[in-house]
Amino acid sequence: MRYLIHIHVIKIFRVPNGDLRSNRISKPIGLILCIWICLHIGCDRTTENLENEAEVAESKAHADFKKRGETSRPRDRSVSDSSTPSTNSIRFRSAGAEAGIDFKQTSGNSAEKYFPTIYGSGIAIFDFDGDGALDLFFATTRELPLDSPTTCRGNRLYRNRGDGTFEDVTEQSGLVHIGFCHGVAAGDFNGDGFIDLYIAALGPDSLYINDGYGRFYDQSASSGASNDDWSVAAAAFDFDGDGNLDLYATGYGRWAIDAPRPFCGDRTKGIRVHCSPHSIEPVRHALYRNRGDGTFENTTEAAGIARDDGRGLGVVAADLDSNGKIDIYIVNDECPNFLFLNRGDGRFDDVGELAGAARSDTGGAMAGMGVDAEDIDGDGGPELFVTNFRGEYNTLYRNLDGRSFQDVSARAGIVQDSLPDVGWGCALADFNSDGRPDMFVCNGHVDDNLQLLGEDVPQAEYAKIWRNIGDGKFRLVADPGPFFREPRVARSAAFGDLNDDGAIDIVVGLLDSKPALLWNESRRLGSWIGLDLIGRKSNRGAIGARVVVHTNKGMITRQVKGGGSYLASNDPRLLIGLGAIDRIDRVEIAWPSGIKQTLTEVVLDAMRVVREVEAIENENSHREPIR
Amino acid sequence: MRDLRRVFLLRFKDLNRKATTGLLLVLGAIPVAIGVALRSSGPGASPVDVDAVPELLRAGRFAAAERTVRMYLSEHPGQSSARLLLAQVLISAERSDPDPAAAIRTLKSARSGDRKIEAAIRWTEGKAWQMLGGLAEAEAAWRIAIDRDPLNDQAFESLLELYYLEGRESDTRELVSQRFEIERDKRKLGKWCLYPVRRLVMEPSPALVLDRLGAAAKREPVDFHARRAYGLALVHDGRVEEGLGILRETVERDPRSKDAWIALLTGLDDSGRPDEFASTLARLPQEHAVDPAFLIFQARAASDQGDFEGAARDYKRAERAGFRDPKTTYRLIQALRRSGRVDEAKEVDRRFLEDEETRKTLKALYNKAVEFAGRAEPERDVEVDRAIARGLKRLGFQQDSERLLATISQ
Repeated sequence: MRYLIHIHVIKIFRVPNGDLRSNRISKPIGLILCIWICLHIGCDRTTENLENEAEVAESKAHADFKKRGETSRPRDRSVSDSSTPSTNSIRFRSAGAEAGIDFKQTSGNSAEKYFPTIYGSGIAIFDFDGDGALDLFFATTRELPLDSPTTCRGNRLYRNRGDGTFEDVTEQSGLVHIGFCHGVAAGDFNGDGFIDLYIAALGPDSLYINDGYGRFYDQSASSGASNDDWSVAAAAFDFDGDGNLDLYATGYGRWAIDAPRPFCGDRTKGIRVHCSPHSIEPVRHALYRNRGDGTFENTTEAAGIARDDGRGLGVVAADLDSNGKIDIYIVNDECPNFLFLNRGDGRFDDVGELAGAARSDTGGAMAGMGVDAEDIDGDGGPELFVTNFRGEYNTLYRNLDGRSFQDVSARAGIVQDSLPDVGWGCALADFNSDGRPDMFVCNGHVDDNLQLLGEDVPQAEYAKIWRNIGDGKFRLVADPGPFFREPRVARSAAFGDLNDDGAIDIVVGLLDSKPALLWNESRRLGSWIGLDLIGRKSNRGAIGARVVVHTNKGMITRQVKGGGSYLASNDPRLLIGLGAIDRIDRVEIAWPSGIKQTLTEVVLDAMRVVREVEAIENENSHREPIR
Repeated sequence: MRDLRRVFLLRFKDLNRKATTGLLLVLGAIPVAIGVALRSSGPGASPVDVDAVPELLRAGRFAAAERTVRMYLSEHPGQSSARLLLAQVLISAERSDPDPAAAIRTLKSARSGDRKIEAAIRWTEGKAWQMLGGLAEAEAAWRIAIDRDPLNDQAFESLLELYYLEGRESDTRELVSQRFEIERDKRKLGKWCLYPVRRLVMEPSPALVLDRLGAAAKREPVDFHARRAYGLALVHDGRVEEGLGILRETVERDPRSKDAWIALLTGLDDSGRPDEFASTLARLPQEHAVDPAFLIFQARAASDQGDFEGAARDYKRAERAGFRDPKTTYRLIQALRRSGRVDEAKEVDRRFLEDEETRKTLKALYNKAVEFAGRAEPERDVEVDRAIARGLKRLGFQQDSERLLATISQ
């Protein structure tokens, strides 16, 4: 309201040719008028005002941050900055020991510098016991060779008690396993309403089926979705639209502990560092089609995507060309990224190179690690975001028409602040409900001993958040909370509303450490809605569903995605920040089955369950918020 | 003295294995050669046993070796070989307390009528300057060494290494061309033909450049080449403000320098600063505005403003003018695509992918050629050289390719 008043005052003193009269006259009178109106009418603190205030405050914080000489080089940051937290709209609080998560990741890093120990392990956020609270699963790698003694406790499952604390239920869940586990894909593979787990690994991959009573059964051997190649990440999605969740597992390369390998580092000093990815020959990735009978078949070749020239790390599945079919984007380590557009006939078009999504604007193949897809400019087409290595930059590709993309990282303002880091887990997610997806990246170098070789390159790096300030531009948030003030060696990151407050929380996996649980305590700059979509004809998790929220301020498009971030599985529900709106006109859901469903009575700031209808249009399945 | 020549020729034939570290390591072996020379050509009446110097060095007794040579030198103050030996001992690679400044002082008055020894002196002087961060002085000394002995491998390869780190392709090409005309050992030609495109097939990492050029970039008077390369490496290492500060200052110091403008614009482009990039390009001196070297920047600016037709035109002109690198070609593809010329984009994309394969092949061939040139193989590997010539031709380096093929047919 205050800003509206100010605009009116300016209009009053606007002369016919559009120029303002002398400031000497207009400003004092305008000020008096403002005060008078405020006294008599009252000055509302609307969400719009809050957003503007936050913008001003953030600009000031950012300017202060730069003025202090604290550039994006994180190690130069001042740790004690008491002024900025209150002015930032985006802020996270680190959970302490009371959260009860005592899992410790084991990277397997040793003086031998075995290559796979670089990549860390994943995190899944999902509700394994159907109690409505999101639980946490942590995978871990271990020491190599695989038959060597280990201190690793293996993968762990934590049940969310619903009060901000978690309990370790691994033993009773049947998920006890100590292996070299990387990425986790959570999804209801058998469509029974309970979320199962697929784990990509060095060695055989694992498929655990959830029996609905809190126990998982290892179905890896009979599933047909486990191979002995080195898989790193996986995504669950239904590529052929039969309602069964399929799987894409990224292959990294050929590696065996007993194979000859080069000495990288300084032989005279006896110091090894990790070799370049170029020392690893890539292997073929795998697309597994779910037959619907508990088994999978490898359909990589039949689908036309049998590429064996990418060391795959990150994968996201989303409908990128808005044809209603879910596509796959895979980011590769020092190889061009893959973009496979779903034709809808069981095959994909391999368009990465010509679509402009395979490389950065430099023409170089980057060391892609993490990935996400989200519509950041409001045109309905998801942009692509990729985290890369130090000296490269994180790449934001604007979706031009679904079949062509443009590296707009420079225009977005994210190049300079991402150049110094080795980026991994990431998300384009709206952390402050202003309707615009922000950007989170966690970082950490691959080598822990470069300083011994005289290189000023520490392994620990700072996680960063960029706030979406509109018009396709982002700004680094100066101090989003205590976690961001310390450098860390991060890898995976998973995103979801763990305490059901309508804000997206983050779980960050750290090498050889306990994970960090970050509660989102950002200033909310708008309304939100949550949608828990349950497919009937579509796959039960509705992965691939496209939701368009029409409000009095415009429309916002979001999708239920498969994969994303790095080695992670995110909250399967959609949490949609809406910004400063007055009402939702309608919500249109395009289910993966092709069924369209429209909701017309939608309560703001609440989570709701939406079940797929049987081809009935304009169904309003409004229910009370479930939490 | 004949022995000395022979030993020098043999010692340095493989100086460029991984020259970044190898150059200094090899210094440790030189005193052995000089010691032999002193024994064979020096006055036999000397009571000082210089033969003991190699053994002392091997045992890590550098002070004793230095003392021995100094005593010898005090008896034979005019002997250039002895000064050279002392300088070598002073900057020996294994030494924990090298004294390059003393080496430079020692060599200052050393002159030899023998062109090969004179070249060795100047090369050593250059190495000492390099250790002090005086890369401009090192370059000057190595240039003199080549002037005295055009077949001096050490000075030649030291210069190539320096130019590689500093990104001086035209200097590299000029140097290689000179050597190409007089080289008798045909086994080396393939490797040297690849030097001008070495950065294209394997760019040095920012960390390496920062390490090698750091001292030189911080010295006064300003070493333009080192500072320019250092500034860009800082940008690529993520220290953007620091790097751009150096590049801006380089332009301010010499606003007419084309290379300084190119470096600043490259830094701004690579660090994602489109607004400053555009304003900097607008300040470009008139004489550079028409220079083909700036076409890629003009194309970038056109692309930023949505003029993809203009961008495609300028990228094409840049390629025709010889600026055919992956970034230019890739951006040409994107500009063609955005301007609706999809078929043309596909065609250039095919070439881009072929070029990428060729660069990979050339990188492998480079490593093979370097390895081969370092071995005592009597015969030239003509097939490797033919493959190199083919690769160079595919990447558009027609002249280099033909020159190499001509030596094969001879």
